[in-house]
This record gives sequence, structure tokens and C-alpha cells, in this order.
Amino acid sequence: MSEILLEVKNLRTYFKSGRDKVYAVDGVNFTVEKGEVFGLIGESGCGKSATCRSIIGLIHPPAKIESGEVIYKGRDIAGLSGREWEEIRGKEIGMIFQEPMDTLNPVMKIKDQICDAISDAMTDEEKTRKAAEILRTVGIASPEKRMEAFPHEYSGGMRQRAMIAIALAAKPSLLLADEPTTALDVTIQTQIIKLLSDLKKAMGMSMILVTHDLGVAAQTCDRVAVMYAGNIMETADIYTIFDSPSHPYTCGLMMSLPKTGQKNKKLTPIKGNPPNLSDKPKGCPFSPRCDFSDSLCVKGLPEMAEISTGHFSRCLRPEVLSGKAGVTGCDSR
Amino acid sequence: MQQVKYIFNRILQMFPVLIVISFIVFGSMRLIPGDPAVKMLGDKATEETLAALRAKMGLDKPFLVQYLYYLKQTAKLDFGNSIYLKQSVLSLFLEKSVVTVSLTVLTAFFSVLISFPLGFYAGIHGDGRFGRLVSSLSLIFTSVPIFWLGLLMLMLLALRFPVFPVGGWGTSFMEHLHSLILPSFVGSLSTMTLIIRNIQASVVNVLKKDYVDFAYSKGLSARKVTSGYIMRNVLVSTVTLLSIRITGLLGGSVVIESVFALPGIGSLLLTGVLSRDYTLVQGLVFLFGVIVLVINLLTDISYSFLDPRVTLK
Repeated sequence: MSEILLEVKNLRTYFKSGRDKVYAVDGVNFTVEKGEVFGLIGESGCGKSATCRSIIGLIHPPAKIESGEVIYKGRDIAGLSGREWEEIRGKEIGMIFQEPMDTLNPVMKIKDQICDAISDAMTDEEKTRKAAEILRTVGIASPEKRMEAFPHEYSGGMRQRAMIAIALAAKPSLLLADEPTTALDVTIQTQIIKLLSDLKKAMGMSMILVTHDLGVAAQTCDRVAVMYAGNIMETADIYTIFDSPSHPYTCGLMMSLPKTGQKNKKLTPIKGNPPNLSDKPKGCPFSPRCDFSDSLCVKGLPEMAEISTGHFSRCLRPEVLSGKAGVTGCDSR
Repeated sequence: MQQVKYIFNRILQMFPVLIVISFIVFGSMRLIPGDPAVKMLGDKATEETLAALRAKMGLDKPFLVQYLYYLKQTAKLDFGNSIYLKQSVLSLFLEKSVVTVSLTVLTAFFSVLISFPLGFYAGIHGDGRFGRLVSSLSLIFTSVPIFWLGLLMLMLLALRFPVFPVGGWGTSFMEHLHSLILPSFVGSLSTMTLIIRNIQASVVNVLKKDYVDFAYSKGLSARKVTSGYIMRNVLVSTVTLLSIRITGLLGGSVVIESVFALPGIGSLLLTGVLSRDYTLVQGLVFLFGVIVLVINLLTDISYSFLDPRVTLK
């Protein structure tokens, strides 16, 4: 069995809204193995980003991590102090964000933003050389000249590359990628995804990829967790998720995807809307939108059940989808 | 090189603006009722002597001819002599500007010195008790009239506890400085509170940006993030406000200088207005306009250094 790099245990993060606590992350458990790309997928507002930010400690008031552990290389890093984080962030865990224009400091040269992230032990000249080298690695041509520019002088794709260069400058072992391709057009998306995969292989790092784009997940991830309303509903390796999803929500996601080779077939959307987190449904949060829910489903949050090795689903009736009960459930294939 | 060219162009652009200013100044002076000849010679002057003086001063000529003559003299930096003080307006301006410039510089200094740390602190701890206290105090001091506050401070710190002089300018450098402290402090209050609130709001806004979180995610210390990422972005908006306020301070110097009996341009302008000394008022208002233009130019230039997105074209 391969080495576990990160283990998230029972993580609960809430946002305070008035007097109420709204749980964006409501008891999340998962592990990331060394060298693996782990996908967190789900609709907007399901807690993917909050999970990511909790891991790297960038949760600001009025949001707060209430409980749970984030065990990185055997050490619980949830609730470290500012000083302790300086040793972890960048060097051990890096993060890239969705919108590169907002993520790069508009009044600072790209060069300085990369040099910032490089260890202070180096001289300025060494840092500059290193910065150019990193920019070349992420595919920016003539980096010596380009790195003197400011973010607004870059194109969208270049900004995303520059952001990746900055995040990887200190060679982290784990990269958190929060919707890294959402703000880009499709051709650039493909390039960035390929770049991330290549860099991941070359640097031997692990990655948590947050995305709502199942196509991106399919191209990149080894394993995925499907999140819904702050809970993980299903975890499996990427082939299993696509071939035999066993949670009705995952299934709904698959059926709302267009596929090649299927003519004159209407897409089936999931009915209803994602729940309001401040008024979360009792029991299984997906039950109000689920075709298969019954009175048992609203009694309490179902436990994660192991369907097959490494394939977990938070559903009381996984058999309805596996076809055993004779119900036509998910025909995602 | 681009910078030099830009500055040169901007200076060229100032000339048409100056002509417009001169026209407005000259025209508005002519709109004010009252005859300068009567003012100079008194009510008892005969119609003949008045007509002679008008002819001598060119006041009998058509408006445009008068204006063109005025424009020509202005271009030669000749603003005429003050009717009341019988001295060249330019030399009066230069003499008194020492007081006003010192007052303005010290006022800006106080504003920045106090508002920057307070604004940053209040912005970063915005939801705390201190942040709220700072916002409410700022609001109160923004609304308080400056002459009233000045008089109050005079009563307290010059009469009750004579720490500062009641007014005047003194003779030595130390005396000048001493007599400027109270007026600059009072004058800086409204600017200070404005900047505090601007910085506080700006910090709160910048803190929400992803680039701050991204900076933290690189493993930077809080100090580095604050100086390189938060402060620099906040400064961009603050510098503009500061420059607008400095031009405002020049106007405010009329009030401050009369409350504290400082012999600056503000007092001079007031003297000119009260004694209907229209060459003096005309010259001073025009020169004020020039100063405002220069400050705006300096702001634009400094802005281009602070924010690389502003291109000099």
C-alpha cells in the first residue's frame, strides 16, 4: 500500500451568519496518497473550496474550523500558529486559485512575486535565475524578459502559468488546486491541465484538484470524492466513479453530462436546487432531490458504506443503482 | 524617457487650462458690483477725477481689450500692484507663501503620521471594538466645523494651559514651528479622519482579495504580506485622496489662518476680499489655480509609480 501524505479526519468548518453557524464543511474524511491526484468534485457551494482552504489554514473570520484533524506527514496541522504555517505553506503545501488576475498582486512584478516564494537563503541573483527557470518550466517563453512585466501585461493563460510557477517555486509536496481552469477558455484549459499533470509527474508531488468540471476530473484525477452540501457522498477511483457510480447524486451528475455518440438524447438534469446550507435537510442532504429516497433516508445521515474495495458511498440503498434491485438507475455508460 | 515625455506633455496641457482659469478669474472679478475707482478714491471724489483714474487704469476700455491686456501681463508674471497694500501682488504672494506652504506641509505630515497607522490597524482589526471606535470617531471629526474646533483648541491649549501661542508667526524658526503646531493639527483633523476611513475601507477590501491569501499560501510572514501586498495596494487609492485633500487644505488655509492669526496667503486673500482689493484677489486666485494644477500633475506622476496599470500616455 502506498504512503499516505494527507489525512483529513472529521473536518468541520462553519461560516457564522448572524447567530447561526452554517457548516460549509460538515464532517469530511479523506486521504491523499503520495503522488496521487485526488479530485474534489461537486456543484458550487458544496464545500469544496472551504475544504481546500481549511487544509492550508486560510479560513478567516467569520468562518472557522470547528473540529477535526488535518494530518500532513503524520502531524496535525489544523490550528497551527502563524509562524508554524510559514514553514508549511509554499514549502510543503501550495495552493493555486481560480481567477489568476485576482490572485496575482497587481502592483508587483511577476519576478518579485516568484522571488518572494523562494527561500531567503539565496542571493537575489540566484533567486532571479531560479525564477526564470521556473517560468520556463511552466511554459513561458523568454522568461528573463517576461518576468519583468506586471500581471496586467500577461494574457489569461500566462497569468495562470505564472500563478502555478509561484505556487511551485518552493517545491511543495502537495498542491491544492482550487478550480484552476474554470476562468479559462477551453483550449487554454486543456493546456493548463496538461501542464499540471506533467509538473506533478516531474516533481513527484500530490495534488488535490477542486473542480465542478467532470471532464477535467476524468482527465486528471486518480481518485475522486463527490461532495454535496458539505459532506462527501461517494469516493472511488476515477474509473469506478464513471463506470459504476453508486450514489444517486453522482449518478445525477453523470446523467447531466453530454456524451459523444448519443444522438437525439435529452440530458437529464437533477431536479430541484442544491440545499440552503443554513437550512439543511434532515438525514441525507440529497434526499429531497433523490428519486429513490424513502422514509429511512430522512432519519439520519447515512454512514459511508464500502461497496467494493476503495469504493465508498453514503447511501442506504446502493443496490438501486447497481441494477440488482431491477430498477433502471444510472445509465451513464 | 517615456516618463519625461509624459511630464513635458502634461505641462504643455496646463497652458490652455491656465487661460481658461485666467478668463474665469478676470470675468468673475468684473461681475462683482462696485467700482474700483470709487473704492480707491473714496465716496467724495468728483466725477472728473474718477473718470481720469478709470482712463489711467484702462477701465474705460471694452472688456475683451482689458482681458487681453491682463493676459499679456499675466504671461509676464506681472499681476499688478495691490490697491490696498500698494505692493506687487507676486512679491506679496511669495512672501506670504512661506507661512502657507509650511502650514500645508505640516498639516499633511500630521494627517499622514496619524491616519496611516490608525487606518491600517482599524482595517485589519475592522470588526473589533477598536475598529468601530475609530470609525465612529472619524465620522464625528469629519463633521465638526474646523473653525469651531480651532477656537476650542485655542481656549484649551493657549489660554487655559498656555502650551502654544494664541496666534502670530514669531520671528525665529523655532517660534514659527511652535506657532504652526496647533493650527496644523486642527487643520489636519478633517483630512486625517477622511484618510483613516479611506484606508480602513481599502484595507478591508484588499484583505478579501485572493492575492492576499495567495501571498500567505506561499509561506510569507504576516509582516511581508502586510507591507508588500496589502499596504501597496491600499496606497494607490489613498494617494489620490491625499492630493485632493492637500488642494483642499490650501482653500482651508483661509479659515485656519484667520483663526490662528497666521500671516499667510489665506489671510492675505481675506484682506484682499474685505478691502475690495481686486488686483490682489485676482492675482491670488489665479496663483491658487496654478498651485492646484501643479499638485494634480505631481499626483498623476506619483500615481504612475505606485500603480503600474496606469500607463503614461
